[in-house]
Amino acid sequence: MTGPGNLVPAPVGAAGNARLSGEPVLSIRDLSVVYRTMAGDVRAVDRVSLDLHAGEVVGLVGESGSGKSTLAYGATRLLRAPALITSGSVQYQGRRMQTPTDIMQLSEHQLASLRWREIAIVFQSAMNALNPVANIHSQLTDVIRAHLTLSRQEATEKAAGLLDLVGIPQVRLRSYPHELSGGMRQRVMIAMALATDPEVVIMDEPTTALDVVVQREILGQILELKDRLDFAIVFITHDLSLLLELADRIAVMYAGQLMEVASAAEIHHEPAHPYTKRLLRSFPSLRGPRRDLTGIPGTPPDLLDPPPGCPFLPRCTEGTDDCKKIDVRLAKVRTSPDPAHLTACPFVLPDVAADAEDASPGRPAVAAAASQPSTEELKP
Amino acid sequence: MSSQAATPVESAAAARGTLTLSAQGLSKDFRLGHGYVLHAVRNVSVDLYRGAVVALVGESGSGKSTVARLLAGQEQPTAGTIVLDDEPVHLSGRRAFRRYKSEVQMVFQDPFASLNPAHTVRYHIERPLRLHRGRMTKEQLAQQAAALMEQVRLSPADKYLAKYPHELSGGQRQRVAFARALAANPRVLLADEPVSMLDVSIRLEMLTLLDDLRTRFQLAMLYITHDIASARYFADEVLVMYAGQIVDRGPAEEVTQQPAHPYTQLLVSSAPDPDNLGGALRGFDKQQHPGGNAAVNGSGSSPRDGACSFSNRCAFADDRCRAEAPPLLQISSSRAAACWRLDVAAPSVYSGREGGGDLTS
Repeated sequence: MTGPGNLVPAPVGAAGNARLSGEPVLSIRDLSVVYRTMAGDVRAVDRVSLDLHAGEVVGLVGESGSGKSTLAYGATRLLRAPALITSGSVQYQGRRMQTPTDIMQLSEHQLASLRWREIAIVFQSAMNALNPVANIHSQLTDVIRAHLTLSRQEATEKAAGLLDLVGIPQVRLRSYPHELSGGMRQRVMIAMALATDPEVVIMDEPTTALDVVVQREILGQILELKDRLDFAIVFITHDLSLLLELADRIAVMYAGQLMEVASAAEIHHEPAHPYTKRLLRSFPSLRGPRRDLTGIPGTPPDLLDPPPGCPFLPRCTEGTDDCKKIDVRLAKVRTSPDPAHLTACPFVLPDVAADAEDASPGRPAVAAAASQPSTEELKP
Repeated sequence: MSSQAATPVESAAAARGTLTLSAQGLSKDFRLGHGYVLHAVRNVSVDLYRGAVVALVGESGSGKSTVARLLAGQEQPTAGTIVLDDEPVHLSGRRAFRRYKSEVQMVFQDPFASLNPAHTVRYHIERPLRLHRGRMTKEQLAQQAAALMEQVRLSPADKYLAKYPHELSGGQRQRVAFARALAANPRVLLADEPVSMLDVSIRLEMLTLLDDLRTRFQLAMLYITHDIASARYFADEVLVMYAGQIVDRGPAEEVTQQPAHPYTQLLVSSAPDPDNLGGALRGFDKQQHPGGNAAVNGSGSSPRDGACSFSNRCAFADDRCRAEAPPLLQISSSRAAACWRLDVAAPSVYSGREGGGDLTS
């Protein structure tokens, strides 16, 4: 069933953008997730729509508590109570599948065969996600044999091949996690995620705990593997500067909602949303002239009782009273050369992002869109 | 190792104020058992000046935190001296230790672990006030605690003083940690990765606050970080540490814009570069740093005893590097690097050196 023979080689050329026109592998529509508490529902993810195309790296950036991990785990139904998915659909169309499936409709049994086989996750605490009392060999073959029908011998060979893939000598199969450095453990986790040739790999802060030098080596390796094995990546991080370099497209999340979605270059040079602009001015740059850094004073809103209108309003320097009335929804930035540049702020660029996107589901050219069929004017 | 490198390098931080805390030739060995000794810190000299920030940059395990712990008096150095205001520091006995502590305070990386979950913020602030500021009435105590909370911009003070750590966000907790350190009325603040556990959007605010406190209280500050970009903005002088030694030092802007030591160059080139979309990440430094990370290569490739500790990862290493460790060699009046091969590794820095002659240690 598997093995390199099944893999489609990645098209040569610029990754990501060139392939935006194709059907998405993963298409999240109107996904809402709440955490049910005694005090009420915490709206962790609020009507989020996002597409992921084959071979693309989509960066999901936001502060802690912005719902970026909840979005990724919600879309793969990895959350359990008190988390509750209250609305939305997630269409998955793998190249090994005849027809798209809605992940939200799958039974537990069907989910089990989808997870890892099609969508794999590198977890946030990957440094500690390995079992300390089992060696690398048994942890890798465990995964392989759970999801693929291989003999013990074949599984061992596959495990050795996986370590090769991430640049760890095969003798390390016998090592225990404590005998590996942080960077090596992270590589093992990545190898494990790639064990079954998944089409989508969700990486939740995979390099946050690592040194910059090691981080860079691992990111380079991830991109190399992606080009070779042709999987798509959802890369979750709070480090926007990293995403600018790594991702094809970036989705900026704030208080459970998407604030802006655009190509990395657009986010870097022509950010539309005030939050993105402030985020870009929050990290010191090592290169170029020293610039004024402002940061973002204030804290995100309480999602138990979110304020009406734009959630960023209390921290926004460009906000007006009208911001309290808007229904936060992504809309196209018309002046942008990137046809898929969407922002949730209708006021920052007058006459630019005025009308909400009227996206019928499955419109191929649109990368991410607010999929509510009603088209209401956001401008007062 | 070669002879003591008593560098005549003048710190870029010296322009700010008078020398407050000076450590010369600090070393710390940890005995690991079975005869193994870990040289965590080797011959490190740090000078902290009033109202100035010195950044100590390096990867995890490079000995940055050990330097901070030595300066804070938490560990006894194996060798070297610490001088506070021209007086050698001898931390024998509890009184001497407490007196030293009221001058030199530390802020830790993890505000989730450094505050006691069983006590309110008021306890955390009032205890050092009572220990270090002498006897005072209850009213005075409450008043000073409230004043400290205002200094770190936690207001209304009474509301925050009554809270427990778990009721605060990461940024608020770190503010409490700052206030606690300031309660002792110190002149030296050692900040060990004070913002790396915080959200990106809050980090800058906290650094601005630290910068502000540094100016207002005229603190001599050591800022330990692995983020060399923040050191560029925040520090006067940058010291780059590798394997327990200072390998590069100089004014913050110079070290970050014209890194001299090959390790500093690696560190700078590893920082995310938004202007180079995707390009640099693919095929990262395959040629320049074939060794990759020392930890990845395992212990087999660790440098020989006496060799330059970076020689196993360095593209410029030659026989001399593998035989003899370089001391800090002076490049200019405020700049030094521990590298034999600066002429090849950093030609622009080397040719711009003052005097134009050979480097002197």
